[in-house]
Amino acid sequence: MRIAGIPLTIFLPLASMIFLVVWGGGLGVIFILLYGTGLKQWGSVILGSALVVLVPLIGYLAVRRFAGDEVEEEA
Amino acid sequence: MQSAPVLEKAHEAETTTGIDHRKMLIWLFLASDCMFFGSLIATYLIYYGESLVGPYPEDVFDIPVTSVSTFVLLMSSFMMVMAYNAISRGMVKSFRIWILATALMGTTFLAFQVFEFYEFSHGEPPLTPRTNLFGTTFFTLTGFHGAHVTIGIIWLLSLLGYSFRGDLRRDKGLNVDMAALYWHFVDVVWIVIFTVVYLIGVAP
Repeated sequence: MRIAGIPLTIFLPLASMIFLVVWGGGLGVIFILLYGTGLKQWGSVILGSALVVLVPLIGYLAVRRFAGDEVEEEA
Repeated sequence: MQSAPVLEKAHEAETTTGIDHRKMLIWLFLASDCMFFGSLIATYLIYYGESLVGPYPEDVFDIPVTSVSTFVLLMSSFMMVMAYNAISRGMVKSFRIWILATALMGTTFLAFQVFEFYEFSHGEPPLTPRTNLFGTTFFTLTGFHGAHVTIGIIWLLSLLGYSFRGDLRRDKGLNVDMAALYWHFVDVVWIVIFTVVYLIGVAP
């Protein structure tokens, strides 16, 4: 199977690395910029704590919204 | 569909250990990785307090920031459990949501590491791998752990991609099981690093 002419076994790790650089690098830069404000290290503590709560919460709501009707498969 | 039962039968082939070969392999890999991290932690401890020039652990570590990043990684393990629970019950949509959330949290942990490394190397005085023994052993240990997290995230996101091809359901979640074992291992290693390096590092 190919996506845009690239084999899936190469495409998926490449796409994952792009995700890593965009999300991880972007958030890292935001943490650094927050440190430069009056918040100092507490900016990253507040943003990180918010993500700890928000990501699972959004995950739970997404499961209810998009996978609520999903039926458990028979073993 | 005639082929699916045949494939499942093939995966359930008897082994001398009673455990699937792939699962046995991941356990063996984790055992070897234990020794790898064990040697890195031992090296850090051997050289602990041996640096001739600063900065020292108590000068650079910021426990509130690292505590939050530790909690981010712990929460990612919880979501990994949710993803495995979903796939083992054949609920692929739920699996996709939870595995993406796990990868997001893992990447957030790496963002904290980017921030931490940047602040250490731009502090006054700066700490780099060449500054002193503490810098060398600290960056080697946490850098290799970060590399493990990076590989884990690539693995998780690849599983997410493969789930759209329908491969995971047929596999009865074994691929996810192996990724979960690796992810929990990386999490446990961080707990040890956080305790030994960070908490003991700032202890009076």
